[in-house]
Amino acid sequence: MAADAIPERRWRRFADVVALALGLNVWLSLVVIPAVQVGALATASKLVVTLVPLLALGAGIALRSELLLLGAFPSTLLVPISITPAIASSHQFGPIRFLVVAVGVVAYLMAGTFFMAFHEPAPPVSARPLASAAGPRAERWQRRERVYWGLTALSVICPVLGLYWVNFDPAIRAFLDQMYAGRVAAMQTLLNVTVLALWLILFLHVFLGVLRPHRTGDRELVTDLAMTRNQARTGRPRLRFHLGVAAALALMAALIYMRRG
Amino acid sequence: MFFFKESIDYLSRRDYIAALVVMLIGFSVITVGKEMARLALVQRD
Repeated sequence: MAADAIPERRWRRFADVVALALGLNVWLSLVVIPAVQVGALATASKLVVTLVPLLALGAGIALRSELLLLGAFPSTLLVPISITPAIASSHQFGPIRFLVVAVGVVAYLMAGTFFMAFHEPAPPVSARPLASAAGPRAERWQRRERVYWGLTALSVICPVLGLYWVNFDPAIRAFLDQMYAGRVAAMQTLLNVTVLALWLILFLHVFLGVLRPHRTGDRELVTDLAMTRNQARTGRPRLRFHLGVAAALALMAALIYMRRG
Repeated sequence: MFFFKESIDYLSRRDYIAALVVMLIGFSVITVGKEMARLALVQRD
């Protein structure tokens, strides 16, 4: 027991160090280095604001809280950016630097979600595989795994694409330069925050919304699945499908009318 | 993603109403796609 606990502690300490290093990398690459380049650390108050994310990062690692690591720390990174929007200006990030920073952010988010595993119950004293585990995996499980990998890839691609369009698309940059002369950095920061907020809503309600029903052992889930199967046997989609189609068509018609009218 | 890119385009042109409409179209299309995927998965199982 003591011998098992030691590797467990070392493993957790290693995970803490990795998460701290990745979090510091995000803080340095997203906030500190651009702030130094635009001279946004000239006053003591701005320096204090720049250090605030470190508090959230340290607390999240100490408490192993996914809320702090995945919610509070990224949110506090926006505080110095909102005070000095030039920090997030696209002029600070070329495409390659943007890619490197994006990879660093994705790596940090994956490290943060890893801490969720530390809240799982202790492994059982003994385990015995099911008879079905000896055979090849059923096609439906292989299909689900492909869906999970696809959703994971989209979880990375979609926000990165959105941020790339806001910051590097030539047509959008030209319009921003024309329409918001002198305030391009502020408008780009607002658009970046909007993209991330929209993505967060999509991720929680659509991506996780699809994955959550695939857990097993949940009585409410089993009931919900049975009701969904019964409804699916009718061969007809639910009311929200028809409402979604009607809403999309009506809004498209409204948009066309606005463009023509 | 296409609808959200169009929404950003409209925002950059200060056409806030059109940006909001396009964003809502995107959400409606996602809802429809989610229902179709759910129906396909349950029917195949």
